Amino acid sequence: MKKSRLLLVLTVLTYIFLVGPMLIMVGTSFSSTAAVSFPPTGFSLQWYEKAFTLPSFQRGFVTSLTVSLIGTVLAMLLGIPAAYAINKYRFRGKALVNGFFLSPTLVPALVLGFALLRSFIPRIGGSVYLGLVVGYTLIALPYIIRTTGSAMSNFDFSIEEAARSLGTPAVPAFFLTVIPNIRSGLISAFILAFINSFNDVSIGVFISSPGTMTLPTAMQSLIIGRMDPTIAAASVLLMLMTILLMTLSEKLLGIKLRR
Amino acid sequence: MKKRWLLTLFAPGVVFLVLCCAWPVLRIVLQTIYDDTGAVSFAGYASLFGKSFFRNSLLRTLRLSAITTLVCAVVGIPVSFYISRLAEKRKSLAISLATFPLLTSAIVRSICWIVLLGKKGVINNLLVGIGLIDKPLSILYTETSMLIGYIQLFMPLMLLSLVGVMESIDDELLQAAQTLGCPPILAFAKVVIPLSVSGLITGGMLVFTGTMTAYATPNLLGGTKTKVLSTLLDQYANVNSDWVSASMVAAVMIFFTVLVNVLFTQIANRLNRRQNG
Amino acid sequence: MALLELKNVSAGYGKNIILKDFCIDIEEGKLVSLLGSSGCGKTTTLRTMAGFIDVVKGQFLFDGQDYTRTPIHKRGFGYVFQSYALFPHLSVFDNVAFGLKRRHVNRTEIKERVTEMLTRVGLSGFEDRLPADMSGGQRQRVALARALVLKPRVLLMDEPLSNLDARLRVEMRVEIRRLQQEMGITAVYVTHDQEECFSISDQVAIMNNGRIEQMDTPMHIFNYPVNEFTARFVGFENFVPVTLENGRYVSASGTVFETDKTAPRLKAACRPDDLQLLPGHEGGIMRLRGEIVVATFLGKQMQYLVHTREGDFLVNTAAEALYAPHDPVTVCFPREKTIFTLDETPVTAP
Repeated sequence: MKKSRLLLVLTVLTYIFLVGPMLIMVGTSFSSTAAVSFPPTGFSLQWYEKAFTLPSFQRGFVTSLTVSLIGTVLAMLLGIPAAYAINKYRFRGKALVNGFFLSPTLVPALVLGFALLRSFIPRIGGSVYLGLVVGYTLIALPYIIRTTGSAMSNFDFSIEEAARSLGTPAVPAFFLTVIPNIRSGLISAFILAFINSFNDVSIGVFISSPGTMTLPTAMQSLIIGRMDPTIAAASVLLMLMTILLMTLSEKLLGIKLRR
Repeated sequence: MKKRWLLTLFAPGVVFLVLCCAWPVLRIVLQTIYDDTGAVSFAGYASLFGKSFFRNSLLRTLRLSAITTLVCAVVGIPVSFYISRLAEKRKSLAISLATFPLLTSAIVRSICWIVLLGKKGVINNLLVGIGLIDKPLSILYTETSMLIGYIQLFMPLMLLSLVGVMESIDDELLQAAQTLGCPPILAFAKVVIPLSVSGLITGGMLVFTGTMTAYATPNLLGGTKTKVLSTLLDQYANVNSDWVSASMVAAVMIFFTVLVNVLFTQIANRLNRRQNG
Repeated sequence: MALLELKNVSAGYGKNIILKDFCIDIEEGKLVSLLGSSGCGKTTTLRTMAGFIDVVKGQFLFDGQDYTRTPIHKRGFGYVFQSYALFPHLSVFDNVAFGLKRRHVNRTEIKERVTEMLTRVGLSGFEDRLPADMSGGQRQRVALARALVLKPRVLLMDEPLSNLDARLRVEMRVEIRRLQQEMGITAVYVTHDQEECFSISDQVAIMNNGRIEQMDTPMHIFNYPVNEFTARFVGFENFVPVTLENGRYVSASGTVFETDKTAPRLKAACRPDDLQLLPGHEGGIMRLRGEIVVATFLGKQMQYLVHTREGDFLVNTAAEALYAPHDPVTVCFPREKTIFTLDETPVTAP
């Protein structure tokens, strides 16, 4: 009894350490003064107003949103066929192919951004936007392969063969049998890959221009100048987005987001 | 027939990976070992490793990664065990609460600590306010604040990896150890810890490589005197425009990421082999 | 004096108290079985003795000493789990040596004792195997060896054979009995299998709803169940309520039953094997008139379901098809095979 109480205390302290600072930041975002303080002095929504109207945040939000979405979709288009082949067929060099598809995880995202900046963007006419799309596709790809792969490893491929034996061509059979059965795996992979990309700081460190900048990069360049509750307000909005996605996927789709 | 079909399935991904990942990364790495005449030369690395500034940053990176991994493991083991024994509803809540920070941007989580630890931050204001100290403490922009940030950033990865394996350890194994004479803590050490090694290794690898390559946390919570590889890479490239040094730092980061991955996988394999006879 | 004694113990899981004011005495050197259906409290009793469950009220005595609050690891009882609970990361040898290492026995002695114990349970040569590579029966033996190698004075077993197939069960129960007697261990054995329990126990406690209905030798319980619950448990399936009228016991249809008992309301009971059938309708003491409903061939026997005014009865006879459905028959309760238990059902208005 006594021991489990000790464990309880340790667990609670750990969670306070994990979540507490975020809660305090929520408090400071409602402050009515520019000084960061907790408990907040007064109450105002001015920092939220500022966060919403700051042009660099607005543009950053749109960039992050579109780049993450396109990157995730691209990663799924490239990754799902590969994951399907890896999980369904036996062939020589399977481990090698699998390893190759997972290899971007061995390159730190920061380095990936750096490499793209030096060796890729100049070749595509210097488009920062395209560079970001490619970067996020690369980050999401191994993730998609892994999660959809584990969903497919639980799928009984004889179901697909049954559809084929009933006269369905290969591609429709895939969409009629495999996809519906790994649906929740696909959705959670999509949401998680999207959140990861949207939250990522590292790729944007090197791939950014004054006009095209991810939201985290825009926030970072603002902090370097000064720390005021605008940043806190923007952070709270980002946390809200995460909570929203977590609860929506759990309540509407019955999918618990787990990493 | 099957070959062509396999090729169709793999080709788009492989082409993309080669053009957009393998080639750019390889080019960066290869550039660092060729001199202007095109001969292989490690002179660049020799001069890089000759700079104490770089050596210190590398050692700091490894040290902070090791400490972070250790703290996450030492705290994570008992906490994960506690979570794994909770009733279904509470366990689910605890897991969600650990997942939430993971799904929150590293930048947001670093900002929290600026708010808390800064000279005019919450903690200093509080301590000065109640008269415990007269001058605000300088915690921010030190290795301490970086460590705090790293641990908060990566603890959830350790917790989730460990809870996953600990859930499948039957309570009866602990009771069995006790009936054979082990007090509860020893039973835990002899049963739970050996059986959660696989989770510990997965978690450890994620935490170690994560800390080694994190950017937002050292950038926001560290100072100019506490550079790590990632912030050094940023400085060489974005501030000094020293592309050669930057490329070498990038190569060093890849080298250590791969090394740590290989080491942890080796340990896991060896343990697996031993456990499976 | 009893070696193990639960005195007015209340125990359970959190707010769910399963044992209330529970008492049991277990004598040294005996193998006592706790028999009952799931949820009757038999496992709770065992786990209370092991210390897995906190006692809310009452006392647990071991050899006269108060063990109520003694931590599990200081009790020194052997425990065999239903799931065996072998340590999956340790070899057979290390599993069996686990407790010895805790007792700081030196290495040569550990080796000796483990080897001897493994030979005893028929597993010599399996030292380096991992539990995952063994069959159910072998794991069971490892679990026994792990507990017995410490030479505990008490061995607690929770349905140790329930995960084995029928043949192995019979083999292992003989083995358990042999080891228990050879080593002179006091054992408590939880099971829901009547045959298993009767075959190996010195004493059986039949449990129901967190209480002991009857505790006695297997033979006594089998022949003289004290109440309807135990009677049904040991195979009495045919019951006739009788009431005392003018010094005689009479059933609802007026048939007279004879017994030495004196309670106002009793139930006469007989096993299907012991009832007898006579063709046609004959009156008389302890005879009921009826009609065949169904005849079932059981292999060695015929089983008839007979409808009477006292209800339906099951009668097993020799394997000859003497009766067909709708045949009139008389069901006879042989005096020496009929027992009388207290009729505990509440009286309903006629």
